[in-house]
Amino acid sequence: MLDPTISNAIVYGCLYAMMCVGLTLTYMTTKVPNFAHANFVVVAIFSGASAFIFGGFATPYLGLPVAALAGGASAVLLYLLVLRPLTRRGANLVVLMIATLAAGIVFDSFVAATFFSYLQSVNARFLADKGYYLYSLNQLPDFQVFGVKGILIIAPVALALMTVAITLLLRTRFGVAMRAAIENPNLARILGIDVERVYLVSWFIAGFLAGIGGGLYSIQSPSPPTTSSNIIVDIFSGVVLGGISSIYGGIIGGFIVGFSETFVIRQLTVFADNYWGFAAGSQVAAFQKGIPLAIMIITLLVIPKGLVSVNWRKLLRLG
Amino acid sequence: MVDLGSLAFVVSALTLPGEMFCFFLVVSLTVNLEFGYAGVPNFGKVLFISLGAFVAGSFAYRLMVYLLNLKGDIFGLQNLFITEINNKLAANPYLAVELFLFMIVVAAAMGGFFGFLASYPAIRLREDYLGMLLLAAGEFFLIFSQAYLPFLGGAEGVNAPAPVFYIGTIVGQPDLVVLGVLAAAAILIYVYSERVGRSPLGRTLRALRDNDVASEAVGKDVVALRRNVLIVSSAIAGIAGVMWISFQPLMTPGTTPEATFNRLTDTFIPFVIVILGGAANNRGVLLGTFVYLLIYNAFSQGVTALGPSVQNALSLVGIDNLKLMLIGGLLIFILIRRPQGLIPEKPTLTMSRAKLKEVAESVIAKPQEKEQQQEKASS
Repeated sequence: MLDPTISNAIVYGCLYAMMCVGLTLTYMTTKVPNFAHANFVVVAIFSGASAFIFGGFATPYLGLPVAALAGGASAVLLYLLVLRPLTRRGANLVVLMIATLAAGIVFDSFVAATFFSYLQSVNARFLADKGYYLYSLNQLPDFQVFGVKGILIIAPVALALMTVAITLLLRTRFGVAMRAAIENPNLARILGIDVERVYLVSWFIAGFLAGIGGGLYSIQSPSPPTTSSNIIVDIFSGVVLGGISSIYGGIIGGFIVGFSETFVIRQLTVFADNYWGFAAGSQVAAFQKGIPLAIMIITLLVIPKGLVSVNWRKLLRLG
Repeated sequence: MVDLGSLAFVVSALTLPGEMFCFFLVVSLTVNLEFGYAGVPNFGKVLFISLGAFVAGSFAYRLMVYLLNLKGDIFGLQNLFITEINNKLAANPYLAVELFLFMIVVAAAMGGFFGFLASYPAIRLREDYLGMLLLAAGEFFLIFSQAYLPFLGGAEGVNAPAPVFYIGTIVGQPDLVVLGVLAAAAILIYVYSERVGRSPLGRTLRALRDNDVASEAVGKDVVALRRNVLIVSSAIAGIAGVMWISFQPLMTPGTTPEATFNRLTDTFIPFVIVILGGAANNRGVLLGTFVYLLIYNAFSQGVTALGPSVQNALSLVGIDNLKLMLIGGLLIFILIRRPQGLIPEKPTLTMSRAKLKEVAESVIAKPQEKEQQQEKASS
């Protein structure tokens, strides 16, 4: 049986990898640093949870398709209603960043207004009878396979499937068009590639993957509407660690950040409890988000272009 | 004759909006300095405001506990302690003034120092890295200050000493004194931003914003300029934090909308104000702050005016949520429809028109004089 710390760390690693890859994808295609990516996750969490609770599904995993579609839909909305008009006006990078920040706040407050406040207060009695809420699916008993928690199987499988799907996608005609649009949008346009459509699809994929990540996140961890504040540190850290210019870098970066955050803070907590005595560990746990932040800072200082820019062969030969 | 009773009523009704106005004006001016003039996206504004407020507030509280020789759990007995401290401040105005100045200095130092430190890893890179880093640092600090109990005692929070308010009790008009001090600070910082904006430094910052490669080519140290702008405006943001706890002394850390400082009100709203009013334009910021607070309060007043049935219906979705959706949508609308804001940026006239004319004439006159001299010499 796997140590619960390591299994949690693996799950979080997989979840953040799924969230990071979408942000990397949209950054590569449209060159927009999307500050609303964590908010796609929040929209997905609450859509999936509502589908599960009010749709009467047997397990929260069946809410995942709804979560993924909601994430994709919110990404498409952001692209069509906010970013495309702005890029057509020739808005600069900072303005695009602020626009995504604003969109993220609209998403968050939309979720807080509709799902969190309205749906929960209208169905207060129904939810009280059930004993769990839209933000506390993690308290439900998870299914077990040979004593292994369901999420520990589903999350890595989902990540593996996602990696395979992306690899295959990049080899299709559409994938070639996408790579062309990333390399040189003007030239791609001349060759008859519908660059706008490529962008739209890449935004949808990004939101879709964030949605799956969000759906699984709500099964793993409590997820109030302020979840975006919690996960945004990890997402940015993972993306920066991966080096914003590679999809596989995003997967690796997200996994490393999610894994090390959970694993390192647990080790430090246990160490503090043993060394300084009772309750010292809970104070150390306050530094949890310091770990992704530290990873981000070190990455920016040492390898600002991320893991993918490191020449591993050369480095290993030297070492 | 002015009716003193109604005047007092007007003053008390305007105190809180006035204090909010001063706070948001100062914060927005710093955002304008960074984003409007220099094009630096400081998405961690809340970090510097909350650093200033939390560190100065809790430091001042601990200092007073130490000075008054109070014994016991500083968070468990905080109601007792803060009453004791504030009584002392009311009795000793010199101590109160000193404490206030101390808080300002601590907040400015914290803001400035962390403005340097938090931006250091990304200041040489593209703006998006800086934005991500500062945003992440801000969220980390908010989560940390709630989770780390020895700092502020957790989500319940702790009261900061209120020296300005208790100086006011000596005069007999505490609210008015607080408002006056905040207004004085806001005016000072406004004048400072205006002077920076009109100075050669302000024009350099605009050049750097519009084309950093070209400014580097003419010998401007782009990295140093960006860093210094961040340090100065973060120091001012720290002072703004102390301004906030001067009229709202309870400091509750956290990332929720109920917390004292959060990403919505302290990072996002100042950007709304600057873009609404017009970036790189201090008058625009003044107007933007006013219009924002007008919309904000009109929304609440409007909901109240619609009667209890509408109010109950709206409270199902949460009036604050609706407000935020409206404000976020408004910002996107402005960015798409009117990116220059209410008052567009103008090129600064560096000298008066008469002076410019004089200089122009002297420049034009010179070659003619030379020609005349040459003609004389040749003939």
